[in-house]
Amino acid sequence: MPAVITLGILLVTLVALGGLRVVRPRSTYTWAIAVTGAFLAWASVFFWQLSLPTLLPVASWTPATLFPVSPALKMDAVAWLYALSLTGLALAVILTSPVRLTGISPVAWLGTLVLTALGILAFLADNPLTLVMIWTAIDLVEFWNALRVAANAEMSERVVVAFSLRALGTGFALWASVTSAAVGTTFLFETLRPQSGIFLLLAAGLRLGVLPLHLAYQAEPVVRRGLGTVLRLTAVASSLVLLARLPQNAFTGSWPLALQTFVLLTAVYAGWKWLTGADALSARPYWLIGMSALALAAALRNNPLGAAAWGVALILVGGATFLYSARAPWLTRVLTLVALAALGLPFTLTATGWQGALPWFLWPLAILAQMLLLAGVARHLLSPGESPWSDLPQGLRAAYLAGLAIFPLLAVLIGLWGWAGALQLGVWGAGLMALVSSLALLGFFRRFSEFSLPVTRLSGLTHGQETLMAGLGSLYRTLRAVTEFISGLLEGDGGLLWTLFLLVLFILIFQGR
Amino acid sequence: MSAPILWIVLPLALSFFLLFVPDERWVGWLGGLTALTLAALALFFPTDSAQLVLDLFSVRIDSTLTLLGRQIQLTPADQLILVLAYGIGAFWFLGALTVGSARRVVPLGLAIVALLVASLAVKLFLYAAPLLEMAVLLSLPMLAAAGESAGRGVARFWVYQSLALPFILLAGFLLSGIEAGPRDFALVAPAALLLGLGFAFLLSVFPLYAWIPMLAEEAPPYVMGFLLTVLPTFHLLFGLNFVDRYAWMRESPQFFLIIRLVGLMTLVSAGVFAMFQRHLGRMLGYFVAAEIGLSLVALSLSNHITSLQLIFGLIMPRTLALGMWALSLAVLNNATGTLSLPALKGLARRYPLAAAGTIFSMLSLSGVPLLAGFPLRQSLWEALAAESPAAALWLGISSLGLWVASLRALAVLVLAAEMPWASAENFSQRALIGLGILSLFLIGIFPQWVNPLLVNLPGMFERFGK
Repeated sequence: MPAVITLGILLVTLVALGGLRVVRPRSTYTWAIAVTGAFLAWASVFFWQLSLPTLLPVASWTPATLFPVSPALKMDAVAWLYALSLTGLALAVILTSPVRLTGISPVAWLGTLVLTALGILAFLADNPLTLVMIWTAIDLVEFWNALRVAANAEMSERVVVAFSLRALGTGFALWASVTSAAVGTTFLFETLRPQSGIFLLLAAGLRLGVLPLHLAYQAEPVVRRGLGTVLRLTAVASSLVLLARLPQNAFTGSWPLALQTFVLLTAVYAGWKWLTGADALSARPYWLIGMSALALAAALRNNPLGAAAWGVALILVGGATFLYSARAPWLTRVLTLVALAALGLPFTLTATGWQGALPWFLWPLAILAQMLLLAGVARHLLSPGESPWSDLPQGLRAAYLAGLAIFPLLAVLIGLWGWAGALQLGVWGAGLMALVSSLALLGFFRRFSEFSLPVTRLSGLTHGQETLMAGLGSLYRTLRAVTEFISGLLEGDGGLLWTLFLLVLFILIFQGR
Repeated sequence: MSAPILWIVLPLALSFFLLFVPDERWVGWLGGLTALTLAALALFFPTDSAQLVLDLFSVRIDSTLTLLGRQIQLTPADQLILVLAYGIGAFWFLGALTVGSARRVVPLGLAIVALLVASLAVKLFLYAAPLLEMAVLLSLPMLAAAGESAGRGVARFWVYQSLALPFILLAGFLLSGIEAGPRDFALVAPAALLLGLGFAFLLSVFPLYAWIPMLAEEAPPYVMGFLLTVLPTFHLLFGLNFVDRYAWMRESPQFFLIIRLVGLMTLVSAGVFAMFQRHLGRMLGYFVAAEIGLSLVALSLSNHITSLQLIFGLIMPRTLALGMWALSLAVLNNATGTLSLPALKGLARRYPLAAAGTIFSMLSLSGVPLLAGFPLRQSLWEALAAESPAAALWLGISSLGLWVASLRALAVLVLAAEMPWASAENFSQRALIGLGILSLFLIGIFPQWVNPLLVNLPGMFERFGK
């Protein structure tokens, strides 16, 4: 059971790191142990290919009359795809960490490995029940981590709001199970009906910040490349994997088209914000929203493979962009090639990205969104980083290079091997259009403004969100006044009489029925 | 020895003795360990069957005690109730040690548990109502200690709970003629109305639960938590005995429809009211009311075995969550002197475990995944949806209300200016709350661990559980 081995390696590494932190806090072996554990976990994921698909043993919930569905884990090609990318990201984060200005942080490595293990469990989830449980675990880890570093009351409030929005998304998934039970269906991915599928889609959309468009954090709590990247990407990937699990033809009728239009408009907006953001880290939420929107659009076209492709591209291309701190022109050129994986060209990672019936009038939006997101990647890679390559100590260069090399390696490999989306021609015309238009956009800005784009602040959406929150706050206060009035009646001096009056009223109503 | 002496008379006598023990720690340990022993005895020594002990001698506990011509009986079918009653008691009595409430909770608490067990054991159920009233009366000194003035919540609690007594006694008088079936239809309607009113007061359904938040606001959190866990649980079991006993009740679809409507009204109103509270104690009160509604909704399901499994299955996660919450509130109350939300701002940074205990308990009672309340609550939600999607929607609205209340409490507790994290709880509080939080997660992930408690249910309610 290779997946159990992968999880076992992560667990042993976590125990070793935790033990070392308690026994010898200043040990010089910590980084080596973290790297070894992450590497072995990553390498072990390749061996999943030997036994795909396999159900993993998990204790069932009893009695079965109460729990028709129990938590279940299954190792399949989609889980492999995501697990390979996420363990690769974790390894890259740990390998590149000594280079970053924030310095060495064993706690961050522990966090990275915990999140990776939870992410893998989410990818292995064989039914929505398992997935929502792991979502909650990831949300709690993210909540605690964000709260730990929240420096002021306003940031603490944002952390709670972000947690609430995610939990609301989980609530939609639970409601999907209720709608499934209402029509007498067991709530499994395979037997999902359209009336439940829409709520699962909304659950994923809400958690991703796409449906409706919102920013969980209006500013990153602390701008962090390492753990922050893993945290954001794991939370997003664990939601995106749901889209790849939805059965084909899960969405029928006219509403998927309307939703797809909205989602692609969101992708365009997020793409523009990503392209014009001050730097990659502060614009990171828009990268996540933009790429997630492309994945959601693929799911709405009944293209789960495409959704998986966009999801993995989000991790690999995003990971390369966010972890690239010490820069050199030649390295920038190599990493820019990773962006090619997100173009949708034949035999690349996202070759299946544009499959499925997309109406002609949505194509310009789709290409525009993709163009803005990719041009944004190129722009952020080409901008100055934290430090120049030449300042790096000789010993660290190899680890840093090895970490960054994981992304192009995986991007190429996944395009060619290991899952149903490999070695696909796809809709190559769209990919070509995106390539040409992205190059044209880059060339335009290089020629006329030398990349001094009008840097947009994250205020537009913030303003919208605050207006919405003010409206909700006003509604809340009104409802509170009503409930306080009723409480006052029932708990006041005449409370007993009021309750008896209500009781008589209810009895009369029941008699009427 | 007979079972009523072991599980009723003995704890009553001990509770009287504990009133005079001077050292609070002795009171806590003696009460807690006694309750734990009684729970273990109930688990390993079912009544009316000889058990070999260490291959040396056999023990047989008789189920029946005859007192003044009346039978008090604890049959093997009552094993689960005994384990639950004294298990819950042990949990609360040992926990009382960590917040310095042992003297207030343990002696009278043990007597209350014994009286509640007696109410289920007494064979003529008319006698059960006075026993329940005695339990209510015994709880008054717990809520307002000597020298303290009783608040409005305490008075309202006493009045509302006592009002149940005449209705149930009158109903019992009328029902004595129609034990076996609806032979005299003319008597059934008034009896049902009186019984309904009696149980409406006893179970505190909407709008009769107004005393719960009032009491929760003014009473010491740990005492209030104990009473709000124990009393509704036993009142519900008392009600289940009625349903099991009368065919006209358990075979009437209208009865279960009314139960569902009442349960949903209680559940939804409590969920909505909880959302707007500015006092953590009052929030706890509304969560308890919501749990009462939830149990009634579970009772209304058409599959009675599922109903019983859900009602009993929910007891353990609820007790754990309420225990953890009350303990955490007691810690926070000791620190600030009040549980109003403005006073608790940012307290998570000084009392992280008490804050976490509060929030995880609330989230568990809201049905958030991964926590103890989730599996059975979700199962109930789905079972309800299969029978009535509209009712499932109302349950969802209630859960949303409870969930918003939890997040409001969370926001207040973590909202703070720059203040470093530190733990001001003492070791025993940290250990107990930490263990409680761990248990909430473990039961949420492995709900099958509660399953052994549910196996004998059809035996306990042999007619309803068919």
